[in-house]
Amino acid sequence: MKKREHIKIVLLGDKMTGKTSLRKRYFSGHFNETELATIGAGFDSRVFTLQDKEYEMEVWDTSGEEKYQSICRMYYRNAAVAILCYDVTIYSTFQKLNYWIGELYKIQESCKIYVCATKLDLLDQYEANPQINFVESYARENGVKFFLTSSKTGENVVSLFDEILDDYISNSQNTPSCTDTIKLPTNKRRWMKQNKKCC
Amino acid sequence: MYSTKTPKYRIEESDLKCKNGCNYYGNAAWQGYCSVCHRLQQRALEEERVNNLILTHECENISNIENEHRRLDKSKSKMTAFSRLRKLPNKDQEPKVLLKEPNTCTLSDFQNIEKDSTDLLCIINKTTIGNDVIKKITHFLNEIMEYKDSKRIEKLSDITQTFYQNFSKSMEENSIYKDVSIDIKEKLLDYVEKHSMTLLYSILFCPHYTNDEEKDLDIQKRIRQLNWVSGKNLECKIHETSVEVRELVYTSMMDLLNMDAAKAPQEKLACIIHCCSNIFLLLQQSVGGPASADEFLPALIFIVLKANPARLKSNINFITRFCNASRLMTGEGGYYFTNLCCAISFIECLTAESLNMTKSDFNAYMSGERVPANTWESALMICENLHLVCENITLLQELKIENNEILQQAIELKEDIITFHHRITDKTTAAIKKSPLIISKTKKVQMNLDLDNEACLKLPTPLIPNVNEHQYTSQIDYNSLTNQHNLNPVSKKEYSTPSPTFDFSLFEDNYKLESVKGDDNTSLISLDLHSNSINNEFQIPEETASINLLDDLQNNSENLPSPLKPSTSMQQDYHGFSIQGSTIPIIPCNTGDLLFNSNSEEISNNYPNYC
Repeated sequence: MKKREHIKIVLLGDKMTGKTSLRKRYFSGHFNETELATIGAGFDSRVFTLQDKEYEMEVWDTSGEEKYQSICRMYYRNAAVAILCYDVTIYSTFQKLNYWIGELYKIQESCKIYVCATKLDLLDQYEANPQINFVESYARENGVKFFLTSSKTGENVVSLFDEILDDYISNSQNTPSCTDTIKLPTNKRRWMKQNKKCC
Repeated sequence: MYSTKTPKYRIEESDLKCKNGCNYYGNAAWQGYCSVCHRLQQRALEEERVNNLILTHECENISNIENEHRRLDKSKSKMTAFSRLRKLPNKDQEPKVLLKEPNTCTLSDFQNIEKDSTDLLCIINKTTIGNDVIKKITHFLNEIMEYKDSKRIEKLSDITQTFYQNFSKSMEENSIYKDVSIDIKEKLLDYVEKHSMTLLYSILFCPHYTNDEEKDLDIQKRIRQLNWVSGKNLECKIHETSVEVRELVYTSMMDLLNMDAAKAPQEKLACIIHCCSNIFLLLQQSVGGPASADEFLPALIFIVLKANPARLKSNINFITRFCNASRLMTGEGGYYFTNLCCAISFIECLTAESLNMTKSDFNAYMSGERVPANTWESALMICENLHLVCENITLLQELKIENNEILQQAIELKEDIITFHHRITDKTTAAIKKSPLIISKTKKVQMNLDLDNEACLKLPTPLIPNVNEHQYTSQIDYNSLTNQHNLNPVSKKEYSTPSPTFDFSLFEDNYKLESVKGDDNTSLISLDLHSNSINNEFQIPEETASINLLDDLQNNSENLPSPLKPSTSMQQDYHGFSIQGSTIPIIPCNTGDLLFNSNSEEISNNYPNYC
């Protein structure tokens, strides 16, 4: 069996958008509630074995506070997946998505982005702000996937993570995992020439 | 496009040449020198810097010691424990010695590593794998030693990272590692990292040619300036008044301070993980539920500010450079390390806005003009005493509990003694009741003993001894005589039955006399009539004759008691000579006397038992 592959997922979004709840909903759905309380709260991981290979999905929680945003770049370094959360009823949290997408493209281009509207259960009482249609078109424009979830009811939470895992695996199979071989110049003369030039 | 533009300054070819005047071209990146001259220049600058460092080092050390002392005075008992763990920065910086003997100063740590991984070493030792690992490590060490003088930490870091990558790659691809499980492989990688990094610690940790030390001092100074920052400023939810939470705050600070003492990068990382998991624990207690990242980061910043770990930047840089990169990218260690880096960068660029206060306030606090009432230091002063009181209270409570236990046990012991006493008395009374002590005569017991013996049953009833004492013979005499008269007719009848040997009617009187005398001979004869040898019977007439003679001599038959009454059983047992004759063993005549005598003696000896 090959070495375990890590899938780093980073949760981003404004404060109070339910990042931690989303993570807890997903991981506590599979684990004991009491067990979860003893686990370090900022970090969760699960191991999957698919097609004779082990994948460890790790979710990194981040702080949504504005004053920490500038330093949060460190979190999404090397992240394979980013889940951008916004509150389905609060427009300002949706506006924040622009910032995150820009940041991710700047720093971690290879990172796959999923937009996640949280607190879907609130739609019974409140209007969606912005409209779901608008967000859908926005997602299509930016080439990201869009999910509507509710951590309270558990709606769509598992399917979101399942989709992430499926996408990751199919993606990693299409592209060879490592291309870190260095091609040395085959022409010996050129090689020698280069050496000469160097003082 | 460029051609149409008229250049403002004309650049001559000579301007592009090296500043030193050699004929090579210079480069702006090399400050206008050519590469050779630039390198020479750099080397000269470096040497100057090193010299300065060594010169200024003494002063720095002194100032550091002073700082430490100041802090020791400020902080209380708990804090002194922390400070002891801290090493004074770069006390051992004598570069040449270190470079020559990298092993000496880390020998004990090195032995510890070997001890820790004995299991692993046992597995790989003296196998092809072991040899391969040793070969790879030595190769790596040589490489590092070769490049250590290049004074470029990035290069060393690159070598290290490539070494890790190549090593893990070779473990996956090389055929000799084919049978090794993933677990062992991980351990092996871990061991290689630990082993080489501990060996190279003095070379790679905070090398003098980097500015790590300056950064250390900067961040230390910065943190000291910020010591007025309280949990409230950071909006972190640490419940400072709770004893448990405070304990956890101390432990997490301890963990962070321990980081400097650890040698291998993964050990340092483990310290960070410990610290962070403790912070999560204390947040759980403060918030009353699992904490999230929103609460964690401020708490970590708070801990870093209060702990002010020694050589923080050097440690962070050492981990980033020489810890296996894959370890830092993923996993719990990676997450917490990232958080710590975030916390440090937050502290570095902390502004008034990030603490939600006005600039003037912030500046006043930073310059030390104003000291907020609720600083950790002042709180610590009170808290420390409070803490001592708490500790003493808990100690007293423990003692009280112990004391109560002892008392309880004493009471239990007392009860036990009483119940034991009761039980024993009950048992003894029951035992006495069950089998009371009755002093019985030994006679009775012996009679019982006889009953057990079947042979005894066959025996005739024992003779009832007639104690004849001359004092009261007259009374008995009369009775016995009457008895005798009564008996006589019966006995006469009995005796008249055909008997070849006995003719008691003849010897009636004599017989009486003989028995009166208490002589056992005759009575014995009568007892053993059937058991004893037949020879006796023939002798009886002679004996009786002699007795007769004796009787004649004494001639006081009136004093004698009544003659023996022949018992009925005896009569029944006696079947006459003719019947018994068949069973009578033939006994030689000459032995008869002896037998008789011995028998009579035996019986006379046994006789008192029947009394």
